[in-house]
Amino acid sequence: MSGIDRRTVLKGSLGVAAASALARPALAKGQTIKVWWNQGFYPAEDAAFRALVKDWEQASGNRVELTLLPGQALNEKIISALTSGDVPDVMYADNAPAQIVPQNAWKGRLVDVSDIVEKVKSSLSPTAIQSAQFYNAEEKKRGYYGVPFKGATLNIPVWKSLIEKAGYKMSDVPKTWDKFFAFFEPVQDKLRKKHMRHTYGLGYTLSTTGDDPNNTFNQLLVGYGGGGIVSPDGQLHTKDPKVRKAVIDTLNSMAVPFKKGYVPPSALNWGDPDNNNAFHAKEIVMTPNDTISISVAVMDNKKWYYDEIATLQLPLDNDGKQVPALLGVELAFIPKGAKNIEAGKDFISYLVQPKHLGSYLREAKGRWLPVMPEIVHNDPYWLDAKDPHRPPAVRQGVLGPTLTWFYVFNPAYAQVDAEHVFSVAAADIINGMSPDQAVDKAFSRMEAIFSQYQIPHQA
Amino acid sequence: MDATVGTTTLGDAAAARGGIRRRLFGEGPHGSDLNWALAFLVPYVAVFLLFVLYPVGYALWLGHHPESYRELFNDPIYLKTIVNTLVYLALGVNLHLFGALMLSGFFTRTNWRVRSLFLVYILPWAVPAIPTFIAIHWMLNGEWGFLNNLLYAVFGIDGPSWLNYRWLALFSSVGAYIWKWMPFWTVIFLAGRMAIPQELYEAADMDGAVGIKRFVHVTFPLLANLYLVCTLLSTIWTLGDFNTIYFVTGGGPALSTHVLATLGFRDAFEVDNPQLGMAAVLSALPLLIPLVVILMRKLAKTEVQI
Repeated sequence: MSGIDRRTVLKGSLGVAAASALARPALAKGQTIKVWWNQGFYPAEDAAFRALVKDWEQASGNRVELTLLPGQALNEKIISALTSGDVPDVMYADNAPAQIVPQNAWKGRLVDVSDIVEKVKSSLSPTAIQSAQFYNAEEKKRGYYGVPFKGATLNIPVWKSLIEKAGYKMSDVPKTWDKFFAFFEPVQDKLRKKHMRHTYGLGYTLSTTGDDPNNTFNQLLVGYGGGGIVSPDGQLHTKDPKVRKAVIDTLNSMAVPFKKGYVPPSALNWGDPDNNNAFHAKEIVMTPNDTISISVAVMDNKKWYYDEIATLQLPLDNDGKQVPALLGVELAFIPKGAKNIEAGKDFISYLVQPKHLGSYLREAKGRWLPVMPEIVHNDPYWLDAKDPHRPPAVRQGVLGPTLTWFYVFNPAYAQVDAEHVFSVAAADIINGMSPDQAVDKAFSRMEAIFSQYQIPHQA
Repeated sequence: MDATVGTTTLGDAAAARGGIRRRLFGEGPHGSDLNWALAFLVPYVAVFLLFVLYPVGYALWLGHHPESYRELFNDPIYLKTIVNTLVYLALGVNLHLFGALMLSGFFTRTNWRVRSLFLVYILPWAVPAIPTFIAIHWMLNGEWGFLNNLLYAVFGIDGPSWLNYRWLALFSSVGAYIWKWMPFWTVIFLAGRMAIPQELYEAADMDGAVGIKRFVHVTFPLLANLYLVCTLLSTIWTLGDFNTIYFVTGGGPALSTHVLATLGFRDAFEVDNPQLGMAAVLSALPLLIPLVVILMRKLAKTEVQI
C-alpha cells in the first residue's frame, strides 16, 4: 500500500466517473445502421417512415441503410438472419410480435431494450408496457425485448349501404355480442331476395394462413369470457371450465354460421388480404379486421369512406359489459450480434419520442394506433368527429380497456397461433366433429406445445 | 554425410510430390498448362463450395437434431402430409408424363394447324409459375371464380368450392401441376421420337405393325429408357415442388393439403422453427436418395440410348 493513499484512490475514482459520464451520452457520428422495416399497405406509410429516417439522420449525423419489404418476405428474412447470426441493427415486422419476438426472446437472441422503454414508460399505455416483456429462458426472467410504438385492435367495418338495402338502419344493429353477430344473418337473407346471389352476412376468416383467423378467434374468445386461457405468468388454463366453455362458444359462433351459409365458403382459404378484397367487392356485409386498413384503402373514394362504410367497435358482451380489446402492440427490436447497437437504440429512442411518433403515425394516415394515449389527447386528428373510421378505432384501442395478447405471456401461444390450432378446430366442427371432440383435440395439441415452453409460475 | 542425407531426403520429397501430382492429375497438364487448368477450375470449385456444398451442409446441420424429428412426428399433420406427398407424386408424375408421351405422338405431325396448336400448348410452360398458380387459385374460388361462373353461365349450376375439400383441393393442385409441366415433357418426348430412325417405322410397316402395334412394339421400347429417366427426374422435381401447393391451396383447407416442401416452409417461417422445417424437408431423403442414385446410374451408361 506504500504508493497508494486515500486521496489517490478518490482522485482515480472521480476521474473514471467523469470519463464514463462524458462518454455515455455522446453517440459517435458518421455511423451507418441497417434497418429492416415492414413495407406499408399504401405509399403514405412508407413515405412517413422515410421522412422519420431522414429526420433522425439529420439530427444524429448518422445514416440509415433501409430495407423495406412486405410482411411475409420480411419475416423469412428476419428468421433466416436470426438463425444464421448475420443480422441488421434494427428490425420491425407487422407480425413479428406474434411470430418472431416471443420465440427469439425465449432463446436469448434479442437485445434487452429496457433502457429505451424506461425513458418513455410514463407515456406508454399499461398494455403496451406489458406487451414488450417477454420471457428469456436462458436468463430465466422477463425483460423488455422490443420497444412498443404502435398497435391495433379488431374493428368491424360494415357496409351501411348494404344494411340499408336490406331494409335496416344502422341504429338497428344490436349492441350485445350474440345478437350483434346474429343480426347479419337476416341482412344476408334479405339481400339474397334482392338478387345479391354472392353476398354473405359474415366475413369471418376461417383459414389456416396469416393473422386474421387468429385475430378474429382470440378476440371472440375474449368476448365469450375466455381471456384467461393463458395467465400473465405464462401458464395454460385449458382445465378451467370457464375457458373451455368460452372456446366451445367461440368455435360454434364461427362454425355454425358457416355451415348455415352465412360465411363465404372461400373464407376457409382466405389469406390476410382476402377479407379486405371480399369486403371491397361487397361480397360480405361485415368482416372483423385488425387496423382500419379496409377503410383507409378506399379513403380517396369519398362516397364509400364517408357515406357507405362504417367502422364499428366491438359489441358489449352478452351481459352488457364492455369487452376488453386485444391490443396487438407493434415492436421495434434489436438482435444480438447487431454491429451498431447503440446507434440502433438511438434511432428507436428517436422514433418513440411522443412528438416524432405522433407525427409519423399521422403522416402514415393513422391506420395504426399510437400506444401513447397523450398523442391522442394532444392532437385532434385522432378523434376528429368528421372521420367515421379512426375515432371508433381510437376509442376502442387507445382510450378503452385493452388486453395483452397471450403470446406475450408464453411463446407457446405464438406457436398455437402459427399452427392455427383453433382454425383447424373450427374446420373440424364444420366437417362434422362435435365441438367437444374438436376442443379436446385442440387442447391436446396446445398442451403438447406448452410442454416445450415451461415457465416457472412466478415469472 | 549430413549433406548427402539432406540431398536424398529432398529428392525423396520431390519424388513424393510428383507421385501425388500424378495421382491427382495423372499424366495431365504440367507447368503453365497446370496453372491455366487451375485458374479455370478454381472459380467453379469456389462456386460449388459456396453455393452447393455450404448450403447443403448448413441444411444438414440445421436438421441434425433428433429432437426436431421427434417434434415433427408428433405434429398431427405430418402423417397427412406424407400421404399427400405420395399421392401428389404418384398422380402428378405419372399422369403428366403419360399424357406428354401420348401428346408427343400427336405433335409429330407436321401440318401447320398442329404446329400452331403446339405453340399454344407450350405456353403454360413458358409463363412464370407463381402468377399462374395465383390465377388458378382465384379461378377455383367457389363464389366468384372463373370456373364456377362458367359452370353457372353455361349449365346454370353452382359448382363446388374446389378448395374447401381435401381431395378436391389436392387434385386441383395436381391438375394445375400437370397443366404447367406437361408441355415441357412433351417437348422432351417429341425430341426423343424425332431421334428414332424412320427406317425402323418403314420396316415395321412392312411387317404389318401399324397404329397401336407400332407404338407398342417400336416407339415405346425405343423411348423406354428416356421415359424412365424422365420419370426419375420428374419425381425428384415434383418432390421438391413448392409453388403449386403453396399458391393454389396454401396447404388448406385446415392444413390438409400440405406436402413436405410446403410443410417445411411453414415450420421454418410461420412457426419460426427453421430446424423443424429442415427436418420436414430432410425426411424426404429416404425417398430422394435412392431416386438420385438410380438416376445417376442410368445417366452413367455409356452406350447411346434413346
